Amino acid sequence: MASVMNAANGLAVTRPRPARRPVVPSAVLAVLVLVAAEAMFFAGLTSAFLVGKAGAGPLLWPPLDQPRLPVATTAVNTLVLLASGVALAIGQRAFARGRARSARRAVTLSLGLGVAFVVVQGSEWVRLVGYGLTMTSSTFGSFFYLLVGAHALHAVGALVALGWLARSLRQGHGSRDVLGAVGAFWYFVVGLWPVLYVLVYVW
Amino acid sequence: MGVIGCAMCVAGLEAALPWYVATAVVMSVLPFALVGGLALWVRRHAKNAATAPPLDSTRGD
Repeated sequence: MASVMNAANGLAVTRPRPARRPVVPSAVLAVLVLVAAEAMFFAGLTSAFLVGKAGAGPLLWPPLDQPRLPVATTAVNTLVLLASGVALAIGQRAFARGRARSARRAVTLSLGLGVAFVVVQGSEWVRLVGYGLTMTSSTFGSFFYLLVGAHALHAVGALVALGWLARSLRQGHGSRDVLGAVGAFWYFVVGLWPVLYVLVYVW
Repeated sequence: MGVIGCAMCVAGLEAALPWYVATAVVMSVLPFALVGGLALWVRRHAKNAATAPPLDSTRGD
């Protein structure tokens, strides 16, 4: 509220300031700061992985008596996760254009694809543990579960947020700011995975 | 050659030395890149917001 002096009687008159747009919604900014911190966290883990792999040599990475990673299955799963990110982007665009029903469908599709990714990853983990690749079986196993597990935890957290967002949209409570905040974190999870896939599974 | 990093991550091995240096450089530069990128992004949005009309142009002085 702005206060100015009234020339007639000398009393202060309070007038409302014009409503202003926030430069960046607080929720989106908070998530972006979180994403920056998480990027450093994963950069640290990835650095340790790279140095560990280079020091171990090709015969110990993975060790000869340990199972090979499911490269092809995970490649398909990577495409599923990328499709989830695309679906969310479509949902955001639809919401911005006022098409709430399309936005709700796209967010629900994104959620479903994300859940499918985590379920397939989990089933692959169960198989790998059954074949003898565990956290304590080798340095490779430790790094594998640490890196991929940390990503999976982030994916699960983001899916909880996506589920809450989908529910809000169904009830008509969704806002562009919340969609932007949840989207920023999901895009981080989606964008990080191909990097981890190439480093851990392919390279 | 002496050990240049912790023994746990085998950073002291010669084969790991280039990766050790490269990742150390990336880890040093990345925070500045992230904070700088975020600041530039916010600045760009601030410029866009400055040119946009107020939410309710009927209110105000």
